[in-house]
Amino acid sequence: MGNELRVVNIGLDDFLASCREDGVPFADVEWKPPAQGDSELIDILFSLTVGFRDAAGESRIDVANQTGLRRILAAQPVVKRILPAHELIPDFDENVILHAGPPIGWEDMCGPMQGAVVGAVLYEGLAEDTAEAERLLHRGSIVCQTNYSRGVVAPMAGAVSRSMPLFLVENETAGNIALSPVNEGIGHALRFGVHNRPVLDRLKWIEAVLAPALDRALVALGGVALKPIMSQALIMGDEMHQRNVAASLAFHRSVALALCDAANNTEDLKRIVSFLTSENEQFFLNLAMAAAKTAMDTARDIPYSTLITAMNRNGVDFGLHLSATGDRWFTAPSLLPKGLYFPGYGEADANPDMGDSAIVECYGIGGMALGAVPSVTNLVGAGNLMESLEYTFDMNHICIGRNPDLAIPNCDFAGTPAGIDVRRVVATGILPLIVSGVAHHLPDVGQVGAGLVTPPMEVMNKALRAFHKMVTA
Amino acid sequence: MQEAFRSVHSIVLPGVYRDSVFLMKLSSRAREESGADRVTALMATARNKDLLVQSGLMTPDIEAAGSDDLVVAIDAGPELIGIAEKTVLDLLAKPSPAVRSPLERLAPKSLPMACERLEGINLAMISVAGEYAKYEAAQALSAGLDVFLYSDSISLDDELVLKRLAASKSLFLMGPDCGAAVLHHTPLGFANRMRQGTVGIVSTTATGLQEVGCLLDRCGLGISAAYGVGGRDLLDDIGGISTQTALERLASDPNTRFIIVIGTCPGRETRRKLAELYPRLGKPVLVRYFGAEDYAIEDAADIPHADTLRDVVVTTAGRIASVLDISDVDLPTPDSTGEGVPSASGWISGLFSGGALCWEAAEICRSLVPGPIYANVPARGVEVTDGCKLVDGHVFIDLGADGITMGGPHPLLYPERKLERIVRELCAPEVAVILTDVILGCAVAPDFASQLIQAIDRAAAITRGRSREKHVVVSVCGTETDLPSRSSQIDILRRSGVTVLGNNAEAARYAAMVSRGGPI
Repeated sequence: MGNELRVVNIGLDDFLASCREDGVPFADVEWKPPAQGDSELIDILFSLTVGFRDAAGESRIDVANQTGLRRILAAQPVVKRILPAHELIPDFDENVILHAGPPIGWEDMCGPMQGAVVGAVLYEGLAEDTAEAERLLHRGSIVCQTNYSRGVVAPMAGAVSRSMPLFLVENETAGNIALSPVNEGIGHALRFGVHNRPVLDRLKWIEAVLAPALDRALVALGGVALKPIMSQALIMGDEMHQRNVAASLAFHRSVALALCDAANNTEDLKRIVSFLTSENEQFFLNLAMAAAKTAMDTARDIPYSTLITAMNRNGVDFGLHLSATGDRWFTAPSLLPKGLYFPGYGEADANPDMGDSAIVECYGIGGMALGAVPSVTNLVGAGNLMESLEYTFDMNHICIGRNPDLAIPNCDFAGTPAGIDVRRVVATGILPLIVSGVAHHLPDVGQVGAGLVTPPMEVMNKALRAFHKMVTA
Repeated sequence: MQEAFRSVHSIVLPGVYRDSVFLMKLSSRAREESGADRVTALMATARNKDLLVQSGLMTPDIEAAGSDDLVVAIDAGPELIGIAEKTVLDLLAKPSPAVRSPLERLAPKSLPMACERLEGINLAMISVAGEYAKYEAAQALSAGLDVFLYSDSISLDDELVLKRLAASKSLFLMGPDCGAAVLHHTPLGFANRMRQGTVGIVSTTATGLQEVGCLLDRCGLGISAAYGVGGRDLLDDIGGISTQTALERLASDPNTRFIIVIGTCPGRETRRKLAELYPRLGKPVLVRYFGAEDYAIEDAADIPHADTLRDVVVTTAGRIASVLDISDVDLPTPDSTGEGVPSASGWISGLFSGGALCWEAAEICRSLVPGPIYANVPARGVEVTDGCKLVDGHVFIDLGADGITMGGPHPLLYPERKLERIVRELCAPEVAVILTDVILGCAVAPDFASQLIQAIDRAAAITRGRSREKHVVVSVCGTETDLPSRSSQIDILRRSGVTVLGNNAEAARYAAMVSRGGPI
């Protein structure tokens, strides 16, 4: 102990009386019982805190988590190409459709995910109509696999088939890559389970016109670095999950000139510019997701690390990856988002939370950075600006660091929370916040609202128990 | 029978947390303000549920509640239930009076966040329930902080794990069950405002630390630092891990020239280990062990020791200053010579907030008075009682003991139960002398002296004055810089006819004289 007392108080206020009188600096914790008072989890947290130390007495878990954090912060995601999925994913068979979230069979999928998968089957021309597509899926002649198993992240239902163009984002620091489809825009969209003609036509246009032109532009540019765009966009009021206006425009600015050369003709160029600048404010979301995945994947498979490396949802279950437990999905039923609904819709219409998009929250943006985004305050159900700052302050409790490259201006330019430690989540009972679109629970209706959601607490408890079991084995 | 129509009304507030002291205060305020017979608000932990069952306040709703839920049981006539419920909810909703700036609203919700908020934190004070405190202590140590751990109810195994972690990181775990310490001259927990000086104290007992520190203060001497180490540190299971850390710190502290060690239930192995360590500290050490059969191990190593806390101070004082006025230590009373000591036949009822004071008083009286002696501390030659049931004999109860507080607040924070017990003993015909302690200190509920006088008056009203014949004998553990000051508390007590002695040992001796009916 140094020459001066500096105190943190956990418990009785009476004990601070002498510190107040003597002018001893102190911080008083607004305390609640850890792990919501669950004695089994408290014992696990206790054991994980006191034990597992290396020769120098340092906690192996803390050391591993710091390693993970360093890698996450060091990531430099750059979008390099946009190419058909089968060119980027080895052995992507014709009869395979990918979906968001943890593994789930066709029969068990929720309405909008079934709608999206059917849409992908039709898109590939594997069936004449919805009925035939459903028969093939039911029979198992068309099989569903997770995006994650193929290095892809995609929002909402996340249906991806072999002809769809995917962005290739490379983390230039570590050399790893992640893939993501092109965001289709607002309104009717395949990701919300809608597969009518206009939706499929737009997807075909993306494949035939947008993707080749954009790929030529990206190649000409040598890729576009995404972190600087994210950093700028955050300062301009995007959190890059629910709101991507600034990021999408900043991305367009980066590629605009190259696109002029890359487009086949002026008609194509006008349509592309319109799509990027006025039709699709969410364009950047998918790039943010792939960028986040390249960062988070570098923190995977670190022995003893309790960092959360992936969160996603398939519309039925919420899925979670921990660093140390690798590819093992921890799951629990996905929750209903709370937020605002489009006119004529309400919570009764909502499907439980869905999509791979929560990867951005793992990286510390989206719901983790709500304090940066005054305009989303109302949408996500925060009462006022102060409350949305409090959200971000809360998120700092469950993260082991900050991302200095992603500063939040109205948090005095403190970085976004980085490195979610499942121990801290279980201990504090504070869950990561995720901003999300809300799909109708029936296929072919589409988006009905947007709001705020969390992982189910149970998925955190399960992951912590499994981690503890693994390290004590 | 009107009683038959009564049933207990309950409220369950899921996921709402308040600490037990807050809820005790809230319960008594709600009872007073609403006029209900009983109002009890607590967290629905298994232990608290047992308490509710025992007191007949359990309801199916509370039974179904979890440990993260706040529950309220109201026992009142049907006309008062609504009022009581509203009173409770209003008190819970009342915002704290302090002005809250936007930044202040964002209080840290965890220890790591607190450390991020305030740079350079080096000490965690932890006083939440033991089942949770062990994790908070682990977090604090893991973050490189020393820990003042007031909480008890932590298993011996967990204590050992925590102390080993502390030792491996050269950190200091004070506790569990550590009630007082003085670090950098700031009193922590119940500790008193004491003069600065050259004596370092290491103690397993808070009131042992306080009594010695305050008596030193009265001799004009002061302390350099005082470390509580928790009641079980000297058990062989723990092996004095924190005591050794404390001794190392005092040894390397240039302001410390003398070291006093007060220990309870020291194990033989631990005593041997410490007896080897003391001479290596390079500073004179004086020990007082409660619960050691003799001082053979210390004598063999030439380690000086003393029999009472008072003697610890007088011996130390004698070694520091050759000419010293210790008259104030024994605070002469008109009859301290034994002449004119009133005699009264009956038992001594010793009711203490301080464990060490209780222990010492029981041992002193055992050698001076005939008849059986019961105590809830393992003092030599006493019959051990749980302190709750009535016994036929002299009785010495530490009202701060784990078995009595049942997870509730310590009598120094919330003296209500101690006062009730004093009234009960004053009303008992077979009791002749009430021996009690008035302990001052920073976190101690203020002005116990006045509350004691009110309790004496209540007993007199109940017994129609008969309890006035009983003798109330008190020592005040405190200093002139405490708030309220020791002398102001003594004035209040003496004005109402309470006999005040200079220290705990003298008070016990005096109580024994009264009970025997004459000088010793």
